[in-house]
Amino acid sequence: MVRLGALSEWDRQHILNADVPSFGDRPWAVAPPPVERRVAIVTTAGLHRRGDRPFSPGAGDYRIVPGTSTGDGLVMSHVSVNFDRTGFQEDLNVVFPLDRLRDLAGDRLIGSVADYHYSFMGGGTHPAWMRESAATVAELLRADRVNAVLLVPV
Amino acid sequence: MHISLIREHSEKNRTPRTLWVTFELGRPLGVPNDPGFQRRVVEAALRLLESSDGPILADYPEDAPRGRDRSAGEEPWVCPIGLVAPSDASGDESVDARLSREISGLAPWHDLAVRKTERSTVGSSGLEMPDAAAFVLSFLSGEVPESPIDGARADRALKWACDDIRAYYYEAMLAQPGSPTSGDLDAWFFGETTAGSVFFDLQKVLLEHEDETFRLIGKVSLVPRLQQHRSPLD
Repeated sequence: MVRLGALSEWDRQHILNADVPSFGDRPWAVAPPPVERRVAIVTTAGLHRRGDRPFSPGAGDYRIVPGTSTGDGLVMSHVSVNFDRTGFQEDLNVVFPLDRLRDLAGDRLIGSVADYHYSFMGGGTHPAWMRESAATVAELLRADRVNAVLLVPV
Repeated sequence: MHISLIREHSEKNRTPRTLWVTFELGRPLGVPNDPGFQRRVVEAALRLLESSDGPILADYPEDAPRGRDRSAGEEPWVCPIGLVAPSDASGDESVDARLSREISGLAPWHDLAVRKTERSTVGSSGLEMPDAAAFVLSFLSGEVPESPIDGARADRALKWACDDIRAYYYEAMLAQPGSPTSGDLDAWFFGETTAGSVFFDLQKVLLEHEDETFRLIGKVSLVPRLQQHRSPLD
């Protein structure tokens, strides 16, 4: 985001005082060569397909975003009003760069784009509340032969 | 790979491969409608996969272009169509009528926005715009109306209807001439529109509500912190 020094004191303190988990372990995986990478996006933007259940405050569950999705089929039900949504209104890819992954796959800079991507809602939800859903999503990604994930916040 | 908007958080949780970007919250890829810019960000994130050791916290070197700089003498953005500001509104017209007229007045621009972008982000509630507006207005009496959305509680329906109203207004403005920043549009919506004044009236009702869920919506899910100073309560 803009550097902390550029924010109001309230926002700066809100960010600095957030309950951010500090993980004890340091997982690490060696990535496959670029042309073998199958890439998925996992977002915390509260995106979902129009007609899906919107996210609720404190939600730790997830929504499925099919790899065939286009911008006109996705809406956002994030609980926070304190981030910009006009970029998303203009262009899905500023939040969820699915077209950019397709471009990279077309240019053979990655192997392929996943069949399914996943969305969480990151406002007012402690990361621990997402643990069970995150484990489920990890299994689903594995089943889709995904070996690289782009985690994208808002 | 993890794109981070808040470096201080990434320094703490030390995810394996993190790319910190300096972009505005809500824009993790930096710039809408700029595939080249977005691609450079994704490619930088992918390059983190080449590392054999971590965790890595890399700083993305490129800033997103800034909006207009008033300190450099650039003209501020002004809404190009003549909505009647709430403070100028005649007392003869009900808020319901003013809001309805405002929504109708924006409809051609929203239609154009949908044609230009071939999409709309309005739709969390699934309500048509007049129905969303009527539902929101019905809270101003202090009573909790029945939810118009099957299977959804009234508080959640209210939040989604409010999100849809804002998205409708913002999309309509983004179709117009000029290049408003997100801050311009927030200032316009909460400072110049009837809808914005309804949000403040609604916030007042919700903050005094007996149900904590509604109080929470009024506190954090209705008016951005940076626009709160426009509230008649402040």
